[in-house]
Amino acid sequence: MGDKPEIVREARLENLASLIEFVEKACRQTNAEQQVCLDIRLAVEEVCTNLIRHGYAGMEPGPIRLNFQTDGEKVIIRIGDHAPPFHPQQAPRLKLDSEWQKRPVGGFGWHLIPQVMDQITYESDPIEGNVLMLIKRIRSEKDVSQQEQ
Amino acid sequence: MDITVAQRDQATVVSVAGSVDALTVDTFTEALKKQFEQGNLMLVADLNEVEYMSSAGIRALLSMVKESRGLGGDLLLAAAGGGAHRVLEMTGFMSIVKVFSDVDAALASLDT
Repeated sequence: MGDKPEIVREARLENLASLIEFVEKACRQTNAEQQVCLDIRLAVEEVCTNLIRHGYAGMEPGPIRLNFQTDGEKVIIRIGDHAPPFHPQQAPRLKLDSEWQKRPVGGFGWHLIPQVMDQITYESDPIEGNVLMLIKRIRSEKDVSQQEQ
Repeated sequence: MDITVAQRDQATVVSVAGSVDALTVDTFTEALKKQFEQGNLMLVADLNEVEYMSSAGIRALLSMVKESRGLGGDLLLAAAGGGAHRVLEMTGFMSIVKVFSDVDAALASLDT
């Protein structure tokens, strides 16, 4: 990629558009299918929105560092922050069999992210901060084997 | 995001095109709430031209479904495929909201 594959913005809602725009543009340059880029956009929007609304809640908004890398077969997005640690496994599980009256109006973000990403890892360091890594294949295994033949 | 509103005999149809996400969801919610304020409690949200929807859109839809039903109306959805349908399925929305392939099918369901 010609552009620097990283953007850092303060965790404010008015900066969400530039974070999304960065990842959309970077994804388009990989020649990934549109649905793959929409999935990546979805995961990044959900993570960044959670950081803006909840991660830095009650404190001065800190940075969101978005790093986009690809090896041609998969995309790796690292999202760094200095909010209090929040492991994705801490996210409340949605009860999809409950009646509409009992459905909470929220909690959908961390329900969606694992469904649209292939792999998620999380690390937290008191000095370096938190890093969430999202991995998405941009080519199916079938595509890869066909090209190798 | 583009929103158009049309009054039909059976319901008010709110058609949405583009993205329903954290950046646009307030406009979408305001459009639906305006209908409630005008006494139009039976709504059909046409989402067939929505190319992308995030959890912000799902949150708004659930909130509006609850509000409309609480007022004695309902919010029906037209979403045969595309970005909205996929996210509706992933969040288990299909079991609590009436989702139709298109607006005509949604309106026809109100005739019976």
